[in-house]
Amino acid sequence: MERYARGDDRAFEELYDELAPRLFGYLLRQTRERARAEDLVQQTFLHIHKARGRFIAGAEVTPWAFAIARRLLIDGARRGKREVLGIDDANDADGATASVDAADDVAQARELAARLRTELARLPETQRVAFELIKQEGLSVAEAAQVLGTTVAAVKLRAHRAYEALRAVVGEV
Amino acid sequence: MTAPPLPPDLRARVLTEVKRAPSPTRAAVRRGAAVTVAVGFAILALVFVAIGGPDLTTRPPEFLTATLAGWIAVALLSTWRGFGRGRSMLGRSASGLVAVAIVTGPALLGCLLLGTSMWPGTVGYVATAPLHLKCFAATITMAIGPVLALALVRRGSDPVHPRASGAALGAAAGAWAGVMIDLHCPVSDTAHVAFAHVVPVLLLSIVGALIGRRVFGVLGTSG
Repeated sequence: MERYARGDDRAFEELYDELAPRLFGYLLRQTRERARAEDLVQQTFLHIHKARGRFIAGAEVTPWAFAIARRLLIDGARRGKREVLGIDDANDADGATASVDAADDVAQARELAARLRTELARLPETQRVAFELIKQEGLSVAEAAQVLGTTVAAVKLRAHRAYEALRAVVGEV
Repeated sequence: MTAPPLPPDLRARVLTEVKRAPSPTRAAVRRGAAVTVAVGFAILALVFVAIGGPDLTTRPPEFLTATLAGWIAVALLSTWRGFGRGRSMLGRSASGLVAVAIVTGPALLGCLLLGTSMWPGTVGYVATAPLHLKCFAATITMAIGPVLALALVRRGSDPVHPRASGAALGAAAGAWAGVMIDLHCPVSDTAHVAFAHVVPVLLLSIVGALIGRRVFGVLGTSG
Protein backbone atom coordinates (compact mmCIF):
# COMPACT_ATOMS: atom_id res chain seq x y z
CA MET A 1 0.00 0.00 0.00
CA GLU A 2 2.88 2.31 0.78
CA ARG A 3 4.19 1.87 -2.77
CA TYR A 4 0.74 2.49 -4.17
CA ALA A 5 0.33 5.66 -2.09
CA ARG A 6 3.61 6.94 -3.51
CA GLY A 7 2.39 6.39 -7.07
CA ASP A 8 3.39 2.84 -8.04
CA ASP A 9 0.17 1.77 -9.81
CA ARG A 10 1.29 -1.85 -10.20
CA ALA A 11 1.32 -2.26 -6.42
CA PHE A 12 -2.48 -2.24 -6.43
CA GLU A 13 -2.61 -5.66 -8.07
CA GLU A 14 -0.43 -7.12 -5.31
CA LEU A 15 -2.64 -5.47 -2.75
CA TYR A 16 -5.70 -7.00 -4.37
CA ASP A 17 -4.16 -10.47 -4.49
CA GLU A 18 -3.26 -10.29 -0.81
CA LEU A 19 -6.49 -8.83 0.56
CA ALA A 20 -9.28 -9.87 -1.79
CA PRO A 21 -9.59 -13.55 -0.73
CA ARG A 22 -9.93 -12.63 2.95
CA LEU A 23 -12.34 -9.79 2.27
CA PHE A 24 -14.44 -11.93 -0.05
CA GLY A 25 -14.59 -14.74 2.49
CA TYR A 26 -15.64 -12.33 5.22
CA LEU A 27 -18.26 -10.60 3.09
CA LEU A 28 -19.64 -13.87 1.73
CA ARG A 29 -20.04 -15.21 5.26
CA GLN A 30 -21.85 -12.04 6.26
CA THR A 31 -24.13 -11.64 3.24
CA ARG A 32 -24.55 -15.24 2.03
CA GLU A 33 -24.95 -13.73 -1.44
CA ARG A 34 -22.09 -14.15 -3.88
CA ALA A 35 -23.14 -11.23 -6.06
CA ARG A 36 -23.50 -8.94 -3.06
CA ALA A 37 -20.15 -10.04 -1.64
CA GLU A 38 -18.47 -9.43 -5.00
CA ASP A 39 -20.02 -5.97 -5.22
CA LEU A 40 -18.81 -5.12 -1.72
CA VAL A 41 -15.28 -6.36 -2.44
CA GLN A 42 -15.25 -4.16 -5.54
CA GLN A 43 -16.51 -1.15 -3.58
CA THR A 44 -13.97 -1.75 -0.81
CA PHE A 45 -11.08 -1.76 -3.28
CA LEU A 46 -12.40 1.34 -5.00
CA HIS A 47 -12.44 3.11 -1.63
CA ILE A 48 -8.90 1.96 -0.93
CA HIS A 49 -7.90 3.18 -4.38
CA LYS A 50 -9.53 6.59 -3.91
CA ALA A 51 -7.95 6.99 -0.47
CA ARG A 52 -4.44 6.00 -1.50
CA GLY A 53 -3.17 9.57 -1.30
CA ARG A 54 -4.29 9.74 2.33
CA PHE A 55 -2.56 6.55 3.34
CA ILE A 56 -0.38 7.09 6.39
CA ALA A 57 3.12 5.69 5.98
CA GLY A 58 3.53 2.63 8.18
CA ALA A 59 -0.19 2.24 8.90
CA GLU A 60 -1.74 -1.23 8.87
CA VAL A 61 -3.77 -2.02 5.76
CA THR A 62 -5.74 -5.11 6.82
CA PRO A 63 -7.80 -3.57 9.65
CA TRP A 64 -8.47 -0.54 7.48
CA ALA A 65 -9.69 -2.69 4.58
CA PHE A 66 -11.89 -4.78 6.88
CA ALA A 67 -13.30 -1.64 8.50
CA ILE A 68 -14.20 -0.23 5.07
CA ALA A 69 -15.78 -3.54 4.03
CA ARG A 70 -17.74 -3.76 7.27
CA ARG A 71 -18.95 -0.16 6.95
CA LEU A 72 -20.04 -0.72 3.35
CA LEU A 73 -21.83 -3.88 4.42
CA ILE A 74 -23.70 -2.10 7.21
CA ASP A 75 -24.43 0.90 5.01
CA GLY A 76 -25.77 -1.33 2.25
CA ALA A 77 -27.89 -3.27 4.72
CA ARG A 78 -29.32 -0.04 6.11
CA ARG A 79 -30.12 1.36 2.70
CA GLY A 80 -31.40 -1.84 1.17
CA LYS A 81 -32.79 -3.22 4.43
CA ARG A 82 -30.86 -6.37 3.73
CA GLU A 83 -30.34 -8.82 6.51
CA VAL A 84 -26.72 -8.94 7.60
CA LEU A 85 -26.01 -12.37 8.89
CA GLY A 86 -23.10 -13.68 10.80
CA ILE A 87 -23.80 -17.25 9.97
CA ASP A 88 -21.16 -19.23 8.20
CA ASP A 89 -23.11 -20.95 5.50
CA ALA A 90 -20.64 -20.03 2.80
CA ASN A 91 -18.25 -22.67 3.93
CA ASP A 92 -21.02 -25.21 4.11
CA ALA A 93 -21.87 -24.48 0.52
CA ASP A 94 -18.29 -25.18 -0.40
CA GLY A 95 -18.28 -28.44 1.41
CA ALA A 96 -16.06 -27.40 4.26
CA THR A 97 -17.56 -29.98 6.56
CA ALA A 98 -16.25 -32.78 4.38
CA SER A 99 -13.60 -35.24 5.48
CA VAL A 100 -15.87 -36.96 8.01
CA ASP A 101 -16.29 -40.50 6.81
CA ALA A 102 -18.88 -42.27 8.91
CA ALA A 103 -22.47 -41.30 8.28
CA ASP A 104 -23.16 -40.97 12.02
CA ASP A 105 -20.19 -38.70 12.45
CA VAL A 106 -21.35 -36.60 9.53
CA ALA A 107 -24.80 -36.28 11.01
CA GLN A 108 -23.38 -35.41 14.41
CA ALA A 109 -20.99 -32.88 12.94
CA ARG A 110 -23.82 -31.30 10.99
CA GLU A 111 -25.96 -31.10 14.08
CA LEU A 112 -23.11 -29.53 16.03
CA ALA A 113 -22.39 -27.06 13.22
CA ALA A 114 -26.06 -26.12 13.05
CA ARG A 115 -26.22 -25.57 16.79
CA LEU A 116 -23.04 -23.51 16.72
CA ARG A 117 -24.43 -21.38 13.91
CA THR A 118 -27.65 -20.88 15.81
CA GLU A 119 -25.78 -19.96 18.98
CA LEU A 120 -23.46 -17.63 17.05
CA ALA A 121 -26.45 -15.89 15.50
CA ARG A 122 -28.05 -15.53 18.92
CA LEU A 123 -25.02 -13.82 20.43
CA PRO A 124 -25.06 -10.05 20.88
CA GLU A 125 -23.75 -8.37 17.72
CA THR A 126 -20.68 -6.98 19.47
CA GLN A 127 -19.62 -10.44 20.67
CA ARG A 128 -20.42 -12.18 17.40
CA VAL A 129 -18.49 -9.70 15.26
CA ALA A 130 -15.47 -9.76 17.56
CA PHE A 131 -15.46 -13.57 17.47
CA GLU A 132 -15.84 -13.69 13.68
CA LEU A 133 -13.07 -11.21 12.98
CA ILE A 134 -10.61 -13.04 15.21
CA LYS A 135 -11.55 -16.70 14.78
CA GLN A 136 -12.92 -16.72 11.24
CA GLU A 137 -11.10 -13.90 9.48
CA GLY A 138 -7.80 -14.39 11.26
CA LEU A 139 -7.36 -10.83 12.44
CA SER A 140 -5.32 -10.21 15.56
CA VAL A 141 -7.11 -8.86 18.62
CA ALA A 142 -5.48 -5.48 18.05
CA GLU A 143 -6.59 -5.44 14.40
CA ALA A 144 -10.14 -6.43 15.34
CA ALA A 145 -10.18 -3.64 17.92
CA GLN A 146 -9.21 -1.15 15.22
CA VAL A 147 -11.88 -2.43 12.84
CA LEU A 148 -14.54 -2.14 15.53
CA GLY A 149 -13.27 1.18 16.86
CA THR A 150 -12.85 -0.07 20.39
CA THR A 151 -10.16 -1.16 22.80
CA VAL A 152 -8.15 -4.38 22.77
CA ALA A 153 -9.49 -5.28 26.21
CA ALA A 154 -13.10 -4.85 25.06
CA VAL A 155 -12.55 -7.05 22.00
CA LYS A 156 -10.83 -9.71 24.10
CA LEU A 157 -13.76 -9.74 26.49
CA ARG A 158 -16.35 -9.90 23.71
CA ALA A 159 -14.55 -12.68 21.86
CA HIS A 160 -14.03 -14.60 25.10
CA ARG A 161 -17.71 -14.40 25.98
CA ALA A 162 -18.64 -15.58 22.49
CA TYR A 163 -16.12 -18.40 22.77
CA GLU A 164 -17.51 -19.46 26.15
CA ALA A 165 -21.07 -19.47 24.79
CA LEU A 166 -20.06 -21.62 21.84
CA ARG A 167 -18.03 -23.92 24.06
CA ALA A 168 -21.07 -24.49 26.22
CA VAL A 169 -22.96 -25.64 23.13
CA VAL A 170 -20.16 -28.06 22.24
CA GLY A 171 -20.23 -29.37 25.82
CA GLU A 172 -23.94 -30.09 25.60
CA VAL A 173 -23.62 -32.20 22.46
CA MET B 1 -11.67 -21.74 8.08
CA THR B 2 -11.21 -22.28 4.35
CA ALA B 3 -11.76 -19.21 2.23
CA PRO B 4 -14.27 -19.58 -0.60
CA PRO B 5 -12.71 -19.22 -4.06
CA LEU B 6 -12.67 -15.75 -5.53
CA PRO B 7 -14.73 -15.23 -8.68
CA PRO B 8 -12.20 -15.27 -11.54
CA ASP B 9 -13.53 -12.14 -13.23
CA LEU B 10 -13.66 -10.00 -10.08
CA ARG B 11 -9.98 -9.06 -10.26
CA ALA B 12 -10.34 -7.82 -13.84
CA ARG B 13 -13.48 -5.86 -12.92
CA VAL B 14 -11.82 -4.15 -9.98
CA LEU B 15 -8.70 -3.29 -11.97
CA THR B 16 -10.80 -1.91 -14.82
CA GLU B 17 -12.76 0.31 -12.42
CA VAL B 18 -9.56 1.52 -10.80
CA LYS B 19 -8.00 2.41 -14.16
CA ARG B 20 -11.18 4.21 -15.18
CA ALA B 21 -11.06 6.54 -12.15
CA PRO B 22 -7.47 7.55 -11.37
CA SER B 23 -6.82 8.72 -7.81
CA PRO B 24 -4.24 11.25 -6.62
CA THR B 25 -1.02 10.07 -5.03
CA ARG B 26 0.06 11.09 -1.54
CA ALA B 27 2.10 14.02 -2.78
CA ALA B 28 -0.85 15.43 -4.72
CA VAL B 29 -3.22 14.91 -1.79
CA ARG B 30 -0.82 16.71 0.55
CA ARG B 31 -0.56 19.68 -1.79
CA GLY B 32 -4.35 19.81 -2.14
CA ALA B 33 -4.85 19.55 1.62
CA ALA B 34 -2.35 22.33 2.30
CA VAL B 35 -4.11 24.63 -0.17
CA THR B 36 -7.56 23.75 1.23
CA VAL B 37 -6.52 24.38 4.83
CA ALA B 38 -4.79 27.62 3.83
CA VAL B 39 -7.92 28.84 2.05
CA GLY B 40 -10.09 27.85 5.02
CA PHE B 41 -7.97 29.79 7.47
CA ALA B 42 -7.70 32.71 5.03
CA ILE B 43 -11.51 32.89 5.13
CA LEU B 44 -11.31 32.95 8.93
CA ALA B 45 -8.77 35.80 8.74
CA LEU B 46 -10.95 37.74 6.29
CA VAL B 47 -13.99 37.47 8.55
CA PHE B 48 -11.81 38.49 11.48
CA VAL B 49 -10.68 41.63 9.67
CA ALA B 50 -14.26 42.33 8.55
CA ILE B 51 -15.57 42.33 12.13
CA GLY B 52 -12.88 44.81 13.20
CA GLY B 53 -9.72 42.81 13.79
CA PRO B 54 -7.90 42.58 17.10
CA ASP B 55 -8.49 44.73 20.18
CA LEU B 56 -5.04 45.01 21.71
CA THR B 57 -5.49 48.08 23.89
CA THR B 58 -8.51 47.58 26.17
CA ARG B 59 -7.10 44.67 28.19
CA PRO B 60 -3.76 44.50 30.04
CA PRO B 61 -1.15 43.09 27.63
CA GLU B 62 -0.09 40.38 30.12
CA PHE B 63 -3.69 39.20 30.51
CA LEU B 64 -4.28 39.25 26.76
CA THR B 65 -1.05 37.37 26.10
CA ALA B 66 -1.74 34.75 28.77
CA THR B 67 -5.34 34.02 27.76
CA LEU B 68 -4.49 34.05 24.07
CA ALA B 69 -1.61 31.61 24.66
CA GLY B 70 -4.02 29.34 26.53
CA TRP B 71 -6.64 29.45 23.79
CA ILE B 72 -4.03 28.82 21.08
CA ALA B 73 -2.68 25.86 23.08
CA VAL B 74 -6.19 24.41 23.39
CA ALA B 75 -6.84 24.95 19.67
CA LEU B 76 -3.54 23.28 18.75
CA LEU B 77 -4.22 20.32 21.05
CA SER B 78 -7.77 19.82 19.80
CA THR B 79 -6.58 20.04 16.18
CA TRP B 80 -3.80 17.54 16.82
CA ARG B 81 -6.06 15.09 18.68
CA GLY B 82 -9.17 15.69 16.57
CA PHE B 83 -7.77 16.11 13.06
CA GLY B 84 -4.63 13.99 13.23
CA ARG B 85 -5.01 10.25 12.79
CA GLY B 86 -1.86 9.14 14.55
CA ARG B 87 -0.28 6.07 12.93
CA SER B 88 -3.55 4.40 11.97
CA MET B 89 -5.78 4.77 8.93
CA LEU B 90 -8.70 4.31 11.29
CA GLY B 91 -7.80 7.36 13.31
CA ARG B 92 -7.87 7.82 17.02
CA SER B 93 -10.27 6.03 19.34
CA ALA B 94 -13.88 7.13 19.53
CA SER B 95 -13.49 7.94 23.21
CA GLY B 96 -10.47 10.15 22.46
CA LEU B 97 -12.37 12.03 19.74
CA VAL B 98 -15.44 12.49 21.93
CA ALA B 99 -13.16 13.76 24.69
CA VAL B 100 -11.81 16.40 22.29
CA ALA B 101 -15.36 17.45 21.43
CA ILE B 102 -16.44 17.69 25.06
CA VAL B 103 -13.29 19.10 26.66
CA THR B 104 -12.31 21.79 24.12
CA GLY B 105 -15.01 24.29 25.08
CA PRO B 106 -14.59 24.00 28.85
CA ALA B 107 -10.80 24.12 28.44
CA LEU B 108 -11.10 27.43 26.56
CA LEU B 109 -13.33 28.80 29.31
CA GLY B 110 -10.88 27.50 31.90
CA CYS B 111 -8.08 29.53 30.30
CA LEU B 112 -10.19 32.65 30.61
CA LEU B 113 -11.13 31.92 34.23
CA LEU B 114 -7.48 31.36 35.05
CA GLY B 115 -6.64 34.70 33.44
CA THR B 116 -9.40 36.62 35.21
CA SER B 117 -8.39 35.08 38.54
CA MET B 118 -4.86 36.37 38.01
CA TRP B 119 -5.99 39.79 36.72
CA PRO B 120 -9.27 40.45 38.64
CA GLY B 121 -9.68 43.96 37.21
CA THR B 122 -10.45 42.57 33.76
CA VAL B 123 -13.99 41.34 34.57
CA GLY B 124 -15.54 44.75 35.27
CA TYR B 125 -17.45 45.18 32.00
CA VAL B 126 -20.62 43.13 31.61
CA ALA B 127 -21.79 42.66 28.02
CA THR B 128 -25.31 43.32 26.78
CA ALA B 129 -27.51 40.90 24.85
CA PRO B 130 -26.71 42.44 21.43
CA LEU B 131 -22.99 42.03 22.12
CA HIS B 132 -23.58 38.42 23.18
CA LEU B 133 -25.33 37.76 19.89
CA LYS B 134 -22.74 39.67 17.84
CA CYS B 135 -19.86 37.63 19.28
CA PHE B 136 -21.85 34.40 18.99
CA ALA B 137 -22.54 35.05 15.31
CA ALA B 138 -18.95 36.19 14.69
CA THR B 139 -17.51 33.02 16.24
CA ILE B 140 -19.77 30.80 14.15
CA THR B 141 -19.00 32.77 10.98
CA MET B 142 -15.26 32.66 11.55
CA ALA B 143 -15.44 28.90 12.09
CA ILE B 144 -17.03 28.27 8.70
CA GLY B 145 -13.74 28.44 6.78
CA PRO B 146 -11.82 26.01 9.01
CA VAL B 147 -14.84 23.70 9.30
CA LEU B 148 -15.19 23.44 5.53
CA ALA B 149 -11.44 23.04 5.03
CA LEU B 150 -11.07 20.28 7.63
CA ALA B 151 -14.21 18.56 6.36
CA LEU B 152 -12.96 18.63 2.76
CA VAL B 153 -9.58 17.24 3.71
CA ARG B 154 -11.05 14.42 5.83
CA ARG B 155 -14.26 13.67 3.93
CA GLY B 156 -15.11 10.00 3.44
CA SER B 157 -12.11 8.88 5.44
CA ASP B 158 -13.56 7.37 8.61
CA PRO B 159 -15.14 3.92 8.34
CA VAL B 160 -15.30 3.35 12.10
CA HIS B 161 -16.52 6.40 14.03
CA PRO B 162 -17.37 9.25 11.64
CA ARG B 163 -19.72 10.97 14.08
CA ALA B 164 -16.99 11.19 16.72
CA SER B 165 -14.59 12.50 14.06
CA GLY B 166 -17.13 15.11 13.02
CA ALA B 167 -17.63 16.23 16.60
CA ALA B 168 -13.88 16.52 17.21
CA LEU B 169 -13.27 18.41 13.96
CA GLY B 170 -16.14 20.76 14.78
CA ALA B 171 -14.55 21.47 18.15
CA ALA B 172 -11.12 22.01 16.60
CA ALA B 173 -12.44 24.44 13.98
CA GLY B 174 -14.50 26.19 16.64
CA ALA B 175 -11.45 26.53 18.88
CA TRP B 176 -9.60 28.46 16.17
CA ALA B 177 -12.60 30.75 15.75
CA GLY B 178 -12.54 31.08 19.55
CA VAL B 179 -8.92 32.19 19.45
CA MET B 180 -9.80 34.95 17.00
CA ILE B 181 -12.88 36.12 18.91
CA ASP B 182 -10.76 36.21 22.07
CA LEU B 183 -8.34 38.46 20.22
CA HIS B 184 -11.18 40.66 18.97
CA CYS B 185 -13.56 40.94 21.94
CA PRO B 186 -12.28 42.75 25.05
CA VAL B 187 -15.10 41.53 27.28
CA SER B 188 -13.87 39.04 29.87
CA ASP B 189 -17.15 38.55 31.70
CA THR B 190 -17.54 34.80 32.27
CA ALA B 191 -21.18 34.62 31.17
CA HIS B 192 -20.41 36.48 27.92
CA VAL B 193 -17.38 34.34 27.08
CA ALA B 194 -19.26 31.15 27.97
CA PHE B 195 -22.27 31.98 25.81
CA ALA B 196 -20.78 33.95 22.93
CA HIS B 197 -17.26 32.46 22.62
CA VAL B 198 -17.50 28.91 23.96
CA VAL B 199 -21.06 27.72 23.29
CA PRO B 200 -20.44 28.09 19.50
CA VAL B 201 -17.57 25.62 19.88
CA LEU B 202 -19.90 23.10 21.50
CA LEU B 203 -22.53 23.82 18.89
CA LEU B 204 -20.05 23.13 16.09
CA SER B 205 -19.20 19.83 17.78
CA ILE B 206 -22.85 18.86 17.81
CA VAL B 207 -23.26 19.83 14.16
CA GLY B 208 -20.11 17.86 13.34
CA ALA B 209 -21.54 14.81 15.08
CA LEU B 210 -24.86 15.17 13.27
CA ILE B 211 -23.34 15.43 9.79
CA GLY B 212 -20.37 13.20 10.58
CA ARG B 213 -21.66 9.97 9.07
CA ARG B 214 -22.54 11.58 5.76
CA VAL B 215 -19.42 13.76 5.50
CA PHE B 216 -16.69 11.68 7.09
CA GLY B 217 -18.16 8.21 6.83
CA VAL B 218 -17.46 5.60 4.17
CA LEU B 219 -20.62 5.26 2.13
CA GLY B 220 -21.43 2.69 -0.51
CA THR B 221 -22.33 3.51 -4.08
CA SER B 222 -25.15 1.05 -4.41
CA GLY B 223 -27.80 -0.38 -2.15
